[in-house]
Amino acid sequence: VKQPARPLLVLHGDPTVRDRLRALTDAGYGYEEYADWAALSAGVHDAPASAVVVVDPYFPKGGLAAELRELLFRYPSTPVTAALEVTADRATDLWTLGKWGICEIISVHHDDTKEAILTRVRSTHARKLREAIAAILPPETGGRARAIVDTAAELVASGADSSKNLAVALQVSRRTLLRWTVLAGLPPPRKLLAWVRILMAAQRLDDPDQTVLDVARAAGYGGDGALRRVTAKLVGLSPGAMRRRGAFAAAGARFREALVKHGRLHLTSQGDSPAAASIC
Amino acid sequence: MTSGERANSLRRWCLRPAPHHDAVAGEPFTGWSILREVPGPLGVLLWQSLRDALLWAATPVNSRGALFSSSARARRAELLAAAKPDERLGSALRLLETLIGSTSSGDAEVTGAAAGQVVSWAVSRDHPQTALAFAHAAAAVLPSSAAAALRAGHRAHAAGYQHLAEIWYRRTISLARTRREWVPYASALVGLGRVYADRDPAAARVYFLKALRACRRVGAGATRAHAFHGLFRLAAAAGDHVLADGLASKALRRFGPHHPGRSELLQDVAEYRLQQGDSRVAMRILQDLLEVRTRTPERMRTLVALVRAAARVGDRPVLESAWFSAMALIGRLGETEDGARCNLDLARAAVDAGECARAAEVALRAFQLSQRLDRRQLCREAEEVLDQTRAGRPPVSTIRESHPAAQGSGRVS
Repeated sequence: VKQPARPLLVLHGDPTVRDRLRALTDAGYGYEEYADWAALSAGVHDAPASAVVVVDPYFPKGGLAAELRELLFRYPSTPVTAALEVTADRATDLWTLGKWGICEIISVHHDDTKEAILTRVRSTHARKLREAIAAILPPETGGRARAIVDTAAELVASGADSSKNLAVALQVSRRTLLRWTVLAGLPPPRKLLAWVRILMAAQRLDDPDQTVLDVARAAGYGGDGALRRVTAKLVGLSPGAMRRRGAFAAAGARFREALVKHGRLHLTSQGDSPAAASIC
Repeated sequence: MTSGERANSLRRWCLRPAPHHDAVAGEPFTGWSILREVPGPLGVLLWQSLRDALLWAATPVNSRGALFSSSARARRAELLAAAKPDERLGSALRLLETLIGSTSSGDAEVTGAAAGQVVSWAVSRDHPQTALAFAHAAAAVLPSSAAAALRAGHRAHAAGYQHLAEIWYRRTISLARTRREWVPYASALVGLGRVYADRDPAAARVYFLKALRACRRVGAGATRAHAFHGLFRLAAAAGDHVLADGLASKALRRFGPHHPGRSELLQDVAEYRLQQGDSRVAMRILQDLLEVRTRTPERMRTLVALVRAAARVGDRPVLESAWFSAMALIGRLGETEDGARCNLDLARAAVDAGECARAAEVALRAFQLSQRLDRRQLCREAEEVLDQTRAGRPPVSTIRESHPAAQGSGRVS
């Protein structure tokens, strides 16, 4: 499993902001600058699904750009960050940007240092995936299970998904993590990470502009063959078939089945009552 | 350092990480809900303060010095001048400003306390999302404080995010055990019991009993009362009336006459009595509660229960008075989600009371408001109530109890 560089697509009029974003190249981002909304839209279309976008929502000048709304509507799974000067009279604009689907804000002249921008941009990687997974978890899923899945999504999106890293992120030993996943009715850590990776790929498969090879590479698989093997094993379908059925819905349904299966297996093997199991 | 503290410092603890609350709360970006709750420049100031605190907390100590631009303090001062917050909130927000350019953990203590003050302000203004966001920020700035994690749990629970509350309560338990702070430990167990009460009553009972044991060891009277209150709810839901009565009196005794938890307990007791068919007692309790329950959501709950109780007793003046008070309260909420929800609650109470015309009127208002606000779940619920009003309900006289004032007047509806 290889992790390619993450393209950073930028449309911003402020040269200082552009310079600071360009400095993120040493943090694993491939900087690409665009001159107008049409070029950016074409860039997002051609970019791998792992791309992140930073824009000036007022570009070129005046009110919020209608082109930004269109971009967010056309590419809902692409994380877009708005970099703007936050002033007291922009409450409505900030609220509107959230309604449109902007997933992070960089406050120019306030938290536009390299460190702050890096933190803000990184936080967007897993946001859409976390939201999508939170929506498909069975309602009875407990807080501990949600915390583990949330952290797994964070790791998968950053390309550092291993059961060791998951244990480190949750601040427990690998043994404790294994015990926690069993008690929370989740698959074991490695399998859970494989599921989350499949869900990430499935989310991107739902974008008709991405080829299966693009999705496989963006999700960190060696190629479309590797993706096909994993989807066949876990979801029971090829990527093409998943696409036809609604990839995320199909993978999500199988993931829910896997969760139910694991929860039930645990209860039977431990001989616990549901009450005792849910305490854990 | 005592031997116990030394042993704890050496022991390996499983500490749950702080949760990402934006994903659970469905926010497009961190702090967005604040902009919805607090419009205008004050919302922007709160939003920026929250994000600064969270950014500072998420950054390694040695990188914090160069985290904000050199003009950041001036920008915050401009926002503060434009927002003109009241004195209490303003002093808290000025303290939060000290984080900019700071690297010391001493500042974290100050800003954690300031974030706590913003939480109290937001609670007093009925801004649950803002309160939750700042409670989360306080817990992030003070990652080893059990009290801050507990407050985040309480706020998440109050804002309706049960899973988020569960994560915070579990984190509180881990932190409290590490630092041997048994009062937050017991309070977090009570919180977990509340989270599990609907989902798994048996598990909830275990948590409440654990909390009672912990309270007995440290003498935390109010927390003990909350644990008895939780056990009362479980017993009432299970239909164990003798046990429920006993637990309610134990909780009442431990709350004492002035504890804020007492009114919530009495509200539950009144609803329980109403369910038992003892509507006259319920009505009396609810009428007394109206004097102390002044905050909008809790007052609305009392008024809704009073509408039900008065209809069952057949006391028309009380019913009318409660109805109009509820309508006035809804009017003050305006075109908000809370307004839609209150309309819906009142419509349900009216259906129960056999007041189908009134139920249809408020249910329709709830439906239209939910549609305008794009709240699909609320729309569906309002439609269900509208269907019930169309199907008709048994007239209130069939469930009404004898009432001296109503006996001569015949049917109430």
